[in-house]
Amino acid sequence: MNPVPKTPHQGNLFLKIAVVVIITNLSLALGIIFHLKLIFTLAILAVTSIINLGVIYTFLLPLKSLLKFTVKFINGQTNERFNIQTGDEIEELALAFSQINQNLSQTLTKTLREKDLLVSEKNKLATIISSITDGIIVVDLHKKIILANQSALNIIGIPGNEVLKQNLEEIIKLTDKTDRILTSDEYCPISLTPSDTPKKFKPNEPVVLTNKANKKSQIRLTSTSVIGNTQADLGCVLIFHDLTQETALEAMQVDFVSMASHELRTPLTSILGYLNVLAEDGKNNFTTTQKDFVNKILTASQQLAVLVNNLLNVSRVERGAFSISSRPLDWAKTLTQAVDENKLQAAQKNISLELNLPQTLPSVSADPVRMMEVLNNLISNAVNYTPEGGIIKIAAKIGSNEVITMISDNGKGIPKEAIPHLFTKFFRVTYALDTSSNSKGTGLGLYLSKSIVELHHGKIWVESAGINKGSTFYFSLPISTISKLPSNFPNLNSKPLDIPPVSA
Amino acid sequence: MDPLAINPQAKSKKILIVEDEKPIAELYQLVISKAGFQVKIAPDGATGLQVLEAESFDMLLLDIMLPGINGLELLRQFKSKHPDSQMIVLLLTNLGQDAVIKEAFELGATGYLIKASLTPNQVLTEVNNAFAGKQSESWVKPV
Repeated sequence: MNPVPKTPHQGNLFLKIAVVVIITNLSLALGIIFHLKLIFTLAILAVTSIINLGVIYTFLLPLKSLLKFTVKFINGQTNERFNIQTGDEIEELALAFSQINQNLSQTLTKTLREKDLLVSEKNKLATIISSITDGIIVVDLHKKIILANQSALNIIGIPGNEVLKQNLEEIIKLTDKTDRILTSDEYCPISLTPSDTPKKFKPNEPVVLTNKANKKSQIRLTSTSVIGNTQADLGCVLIFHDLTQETALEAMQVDFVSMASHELRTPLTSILGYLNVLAEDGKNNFTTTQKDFVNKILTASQQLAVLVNNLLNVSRVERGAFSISSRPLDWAKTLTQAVDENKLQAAQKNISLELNLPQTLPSVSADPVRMMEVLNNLISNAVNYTPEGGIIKIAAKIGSNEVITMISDNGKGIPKEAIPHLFTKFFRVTYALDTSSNSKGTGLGLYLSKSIVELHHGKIWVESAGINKGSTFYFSLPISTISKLPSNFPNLNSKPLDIPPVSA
Repeated sequence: MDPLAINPQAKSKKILIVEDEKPIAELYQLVISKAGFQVKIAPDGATGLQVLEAESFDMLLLDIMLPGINGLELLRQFKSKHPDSQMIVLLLTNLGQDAVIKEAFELGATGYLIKASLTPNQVLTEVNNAFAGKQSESWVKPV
């Protein structure tokens, strides 16, 4: 701007200058305003950006890492604590998440430990079950097999995976000793209400198991119903005890007894044979003492022969090979003969044998040899267990379709607790075991007598009031339906003539 | 009949005892020959067969447990050579197994007796019974 000269026209000039100055200043001011506005806008922009950045740093970043942590947490990849220090709700949220995570991971660890424990318990049980030598099969409520241990599979003869889920009756066939097929309802009853069908299956009786390959094994079956908890879906537990080996061992034992008795019989035959001849020869030549000696040797040898015979008979009973040959038998005559045969033995102890028979006694249907064994056994037992001077009474009475024979003594009697076991093999009453009582026996006589009487469809039993109160043995035999022997039938009641024992 | 009485017919009857236990064989020979029978002894199966080939007998008392050829084998060989023989064969043994008894009867034994349960006189009675065509309760039943 140029200075304005002071001329007349100076007033005008001054005005002009003033206007120019004003205009100039105005535009200058406007420029300044414009600049200020720009600066202001820029300032606002800067502030906004700063605020945005603050939002990003304070909210979005923590949220993002929370999200990342949540994803890890969902995938189960973390058990760390989530650490955000924002001092606000996000930090609280993160803390809550951390707590949940920690709780969950603790629970998870505990559950895993318990699972391991359960698995190891399960394995332990499985090992125990599979190592049991008896076969075990468990079926569900529908009788489908849900468990079979190795021994069971060995008996069944089918691999485990083919057995599971199969119906019990499709896998095994059980038959009893009469070859009757047992239904699974008998040995594994599952219905919750007791069934009306009588249980023919007896738990302790051996049964035969036929597997799919048609192999038979003798087993003893124990079955337990485990119904009660329908959720568990358990039907019953079957335990198979294989008897094959035991049966084979028993057969060996029976064979051994059979052979041993044969070996014992050979020298006995010689002894008894020569003694008989000696006794006969000595009838007229021997002194009283010599006759007495021979008689004693003879009695002892005969007892030995009875023992050996009993052993052999027991081995026959065990094999089921003990047979009888029943025929009409004059029972009065048989009883008289038995009494006569035992008189000598009784006389040695000054015991009297009394026989009381009804006027008429029908014939019985029996095997004469076997029945004589029973009578000799019962009478000689009575003599053995009756003190000197005692009385033994033998009597018979007629029942319905049967003859009941009684042999009673006033001897040592039988304790009550011994009575149920008296007819079992090798059982002997305690006092009989006392060697000082000098009573001999093997515990086979009554067992055999019972076997013989039962083979005749009879019964044998005993009554005793107790120790020292004597005892009475009873047995029944069916009355023979054939009244008279055919005329051409050999006279079987007559005993072959024998050399009478030498009397002292 | 008293078994000890001499049987008038016995003199004509010849009996062979095949028994390896010498005391027993001699005992039977003693008792049976006392009753008048002609009795010979063979101690084993092979000798038994030889004697049976050399002369004929009316009765054979045969043990089973014999050294070499056993009693049942002896019977089988004899019967296969002489299927029409009328000789009475009494097994006289202590073997009581059913299988043995069964086999003995299948081979044509007349009777089966258990030695140990018979006195020598009872054996003689059974010899007499067998000649008379009778059996007693001592005879083991065929199984």
